[in-house]
Amino acid sequence: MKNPDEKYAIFWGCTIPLRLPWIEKAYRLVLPKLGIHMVDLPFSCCPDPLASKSLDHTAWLALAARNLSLAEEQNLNILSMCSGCFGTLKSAHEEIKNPEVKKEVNQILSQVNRKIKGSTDVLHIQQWLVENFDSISEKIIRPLQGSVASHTGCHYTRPSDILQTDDPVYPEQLDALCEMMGLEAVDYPDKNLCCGTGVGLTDRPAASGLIKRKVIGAYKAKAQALVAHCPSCILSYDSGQMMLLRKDKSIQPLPVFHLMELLGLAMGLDPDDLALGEHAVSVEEVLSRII
Amino acid sequence: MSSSKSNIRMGVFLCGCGRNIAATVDVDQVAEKSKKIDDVVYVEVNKYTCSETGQAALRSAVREHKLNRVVVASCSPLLHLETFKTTVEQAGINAYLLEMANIREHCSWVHQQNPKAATDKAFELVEMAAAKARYLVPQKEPEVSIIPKAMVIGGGVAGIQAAMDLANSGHQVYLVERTPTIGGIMAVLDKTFPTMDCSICILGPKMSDVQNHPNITLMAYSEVQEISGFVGNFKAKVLHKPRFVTDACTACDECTQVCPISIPNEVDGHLSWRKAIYMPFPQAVPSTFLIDTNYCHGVNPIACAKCRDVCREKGADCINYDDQERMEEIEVGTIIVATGFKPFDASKVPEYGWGRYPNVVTTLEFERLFNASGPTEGHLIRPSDHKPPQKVGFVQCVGSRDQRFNTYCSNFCCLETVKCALLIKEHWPETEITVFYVDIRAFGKGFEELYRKAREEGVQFVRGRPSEIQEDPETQNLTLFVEDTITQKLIQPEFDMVVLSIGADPPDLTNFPLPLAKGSDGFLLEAHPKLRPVDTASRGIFIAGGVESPKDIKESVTQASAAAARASQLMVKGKVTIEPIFAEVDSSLCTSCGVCVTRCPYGAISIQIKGETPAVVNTALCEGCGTCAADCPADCIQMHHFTDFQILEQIRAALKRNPEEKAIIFACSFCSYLGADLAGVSRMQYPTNGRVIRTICAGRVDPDFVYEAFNLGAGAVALTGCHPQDCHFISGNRFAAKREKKIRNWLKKQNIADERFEIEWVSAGEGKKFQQLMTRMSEAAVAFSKTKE
Amino acid sequence: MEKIIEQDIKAKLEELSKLVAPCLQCASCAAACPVFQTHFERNPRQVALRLARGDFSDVLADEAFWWCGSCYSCEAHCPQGVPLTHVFFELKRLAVEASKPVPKLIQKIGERLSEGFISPATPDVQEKRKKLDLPPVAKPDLQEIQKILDVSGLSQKLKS
Repeated sequence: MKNPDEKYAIFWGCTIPLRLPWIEKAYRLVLPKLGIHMVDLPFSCCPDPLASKSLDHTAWLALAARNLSLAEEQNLNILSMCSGCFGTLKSAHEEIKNPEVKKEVNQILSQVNRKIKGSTDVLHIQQWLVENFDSISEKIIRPLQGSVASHTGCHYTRPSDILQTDDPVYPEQLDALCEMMGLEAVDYPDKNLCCGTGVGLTDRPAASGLIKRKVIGAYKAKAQALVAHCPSCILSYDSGQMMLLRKDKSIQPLPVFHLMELLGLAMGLDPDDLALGEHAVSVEEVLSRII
Repeated sequence: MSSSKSNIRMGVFLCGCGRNIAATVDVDQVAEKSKKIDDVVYVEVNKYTCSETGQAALRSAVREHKLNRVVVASCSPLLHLETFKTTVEQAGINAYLLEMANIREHCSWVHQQNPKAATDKAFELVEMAAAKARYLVPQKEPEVSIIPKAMVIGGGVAGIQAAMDLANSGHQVYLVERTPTIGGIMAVLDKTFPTMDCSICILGPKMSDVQNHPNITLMAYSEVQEISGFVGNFKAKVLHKPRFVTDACTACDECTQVCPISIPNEVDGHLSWRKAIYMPFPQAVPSTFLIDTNYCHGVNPIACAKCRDVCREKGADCINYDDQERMEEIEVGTIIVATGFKPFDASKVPEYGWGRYPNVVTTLEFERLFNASGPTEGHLIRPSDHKPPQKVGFVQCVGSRDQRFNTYCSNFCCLETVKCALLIKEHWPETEITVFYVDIRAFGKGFEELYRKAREEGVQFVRGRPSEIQEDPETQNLTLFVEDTITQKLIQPEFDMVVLSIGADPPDLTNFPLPLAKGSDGFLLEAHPKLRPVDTASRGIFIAGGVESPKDIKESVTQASAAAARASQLMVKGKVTIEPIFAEVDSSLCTSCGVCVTRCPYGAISIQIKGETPAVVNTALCEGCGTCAADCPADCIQMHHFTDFQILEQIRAALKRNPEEKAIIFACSFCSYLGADLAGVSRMQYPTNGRVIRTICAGRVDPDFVYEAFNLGAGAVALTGCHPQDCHFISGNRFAAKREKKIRNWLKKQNIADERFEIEWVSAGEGKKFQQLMTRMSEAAVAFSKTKE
Repeated sequence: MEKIIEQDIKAKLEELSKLVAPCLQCASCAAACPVFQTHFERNPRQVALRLARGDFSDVLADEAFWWCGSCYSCEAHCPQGVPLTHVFFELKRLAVEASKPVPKLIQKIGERLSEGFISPATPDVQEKRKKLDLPPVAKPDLQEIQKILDVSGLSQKLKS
């Protein structure tokens, strides 16, 4: 459906509001400046495309459809702040296009007096940024400087035939957004390596290894910070990196920013307005160099 | 029995075909019943009608009984129609007064368990053939003369070979090449496999021969804009692009020293530069320079004129800024299309880093690095630091065998890599080389031996397809991520340089001046994959080389010679007969609506819609598919030898008895009828309810035929034809498919169940699919007939 | 009951086997897989091979599919278009349906679904949000969610 007035039902997911509220802070400061009207609805967990999807397909789809129906009731499209939620909701939206599937889902939803038509579309915030690239460039009043290593979340681009956002093996949108803000987005070894959140569900040490590879790769290309747009990835590279640094003294800490924080700074926000002190790996030093 | 009203004297010749038909079908019984068909005055049973004895018997019967219509009930017409046409002609009547009934592939072979029903069906098939034969009229095969000249489009090795073969056979040939020089991809390679010959050394003399041959008119830097006409009589408009350099050019090279513009040199895969005034490579034919106006400041003394000035001072004074493009019209009898394939664009595979990492190159770029006339004069150095690589990795199947890019195998990449690896080992034996492959295809003569040689020289072959290539930002070395499937371990080998073994992308045929059919893979389609590999569906037009499918030099040359022979075959006869199955417009009924013109892929119909003149069919261009006739809103187009009335009579004959149990199947002569025949040849059994009616193309099937069948009470009807991309008449099946909506609306109004009508695409190789279709249609008819009880 | 479940499982595995049939064993999936890159014995290509060959008992007993982190790298790199991540999800769900043991953390997350969020909305989180001037977390209708979990059958599966 069309989006008059850029009014969206904002999908926060679980990780942002309950694990990384400082990301939510950044969004709530920046989105209005971008002209987005935010509507908060009582969404639940999307449900997550890792654990929940591995347990039962019907439950996963029905819970996702419940969330979609909440937005549908208000005639709003969903703007997702989390890649995982985007992956789930968009996939569910596509699956429900099949009339047989829709019928089954509605049979379950009818038990809670809900129904889904399938008219609510799902967008990821990065998609919105890319679609409005030109108008956002005009809002950059404080160009940033320095080199960053960008990390695109797996569930933003894949499975690509359903999501259709960026190239599934070598995505470049996040780089373009960083360069719009004045930063140099470097090519670095293991650029397209998964953050390991999914892997960590069954093997924490392996996930830790993936974080280490990413940090080392970024350093090899002389990046000053990592940029990501997904809360699970940030959880891995921020808190996850902190835990890794405690055990492995050979690694130099690599600060991690959320795309929204950098965008906010580039659009003129005062660093004190953002909750930058909440990061597990300190961003203080690199901040002075990029602003 | 002869009707007193008509003067038709029909003869029915039943064939037992040894036991092939006679074992299941009681031919004698069918013969007895056939005597009672209207207008039949003579019936005969033969054991082998196609044999000399059988044919002699047919001829004498025609003469003796003064027959003027002949029905031969035997095997598939696609097998012996031409044979029997000759027989009846020899007997003194027009070849087009013959109709065949297929009582073998469509009857005796597929109903072996049901002799009684098969016999009844055979008789009905004879009745259907008689119904059409009754209304056949003599046809004259028009003859056209052939211009004994040929045009070869494309000057790569295939085009060069075809032009030389034709010229040496005495034909005049126009060789048209789009780029400034002939030679194509072969001219820029270094060596050729499996002999390791120097590529340009073996091609160069041939290129000179082309230029010097009295029978060849070489048109390089020219493009064919438009082609019209038909076999034997093609008119082509060729645009000659201006070089701004005259023939006086001595290739002294003074101009390039002063030209201020540098451009990436496409011959070297952008590994080097050239100037705006340039010669593509030293051995170019024609051997002159030219100015690239896409980049030159402007061929105008006010803009620059440095090249002209130095040419006047030190050279041959051969630069002419007043050169203009020139259109030339040529007339030829045959055309050979040899425009080649495009090398795969490796930027489509971003995970391999081509275009991003300087030390990742393609095999074509690699050839240029090795080539003495290349950017490094033959020294193998890596692009980032110009040092010779110690470790080189090759990645196979780049862009090929891949659902995301090209699904086919590109044929030459395996041996291309083996060759490149051996070249490195020959000059720098200490270099470590690893090839990462999925399968090694060394199918040609000498290929396996070359592959063995590579292994003997120490080239390592690892079976595993790399998922990505990463670059070390400092050293610019490359790391591959690959599982060695033999040791089952992940390896991350590092290389100084990686060569991507790219395959072929399909040729870019947008705006190509001929409407040639393409396969689903994007390459030009041959008339028959086994028996007519260099013909196209359009008479007089042949294909050769990479434009037909990816292939190496030897296969390109082989196809080129084959195409030249086929073209020559046509031209030496001096004239060619055209099959008289074409469309004819009844101008008294034509409303000048123009629909027919949109249905014809051959441009055979001309009309002035505003001028309200009736449509006119150019019978030589018309291929007889009948699509125009089926969609004509005024019903004023008739197809010779496949008229509406003849087809309707066949339908009526088929549904004379117990129509509700019958299924009428329309089949096209190039795919589905052949698929039906294949089901017969393979002895696939199915119920006896089906009656096949052959048209030339699925596009012929007018919805009125379907309505007539159902109005007469048919149990089921099916429309079959070629698969969407394979229509022998390019778009006939597409237009047939478009009629489905209208037909289904009509069926709904008549309360006819969905299952009783089907459109199904059956290729010549899909006997099983045809068997399944027949079974489904028969079941639908039987189910329907039960409701009528 | 056991026999009928087994028939269903076999039928599902045959469906999955058909999905994997185009596999050329080129190993692009293995090379791209972040799990395999760390542990050679956890090889997605091997799972595909066993499925394609019909070695179904091996596939289920091995339980290698639980290592999959659902990053979809394999699917993105596969030149034959085999939907391998989807196959892994199906295998996990089959194991759950057949009451096989589920990795602890995944079981825990499944159980938390009925609380509305898979991260707990503890008091210190609410505090932190207040400090950051953020509105309180939205409260989803837990009854609806529980009903959906019950009707879809996930509640029962988690218990067993």
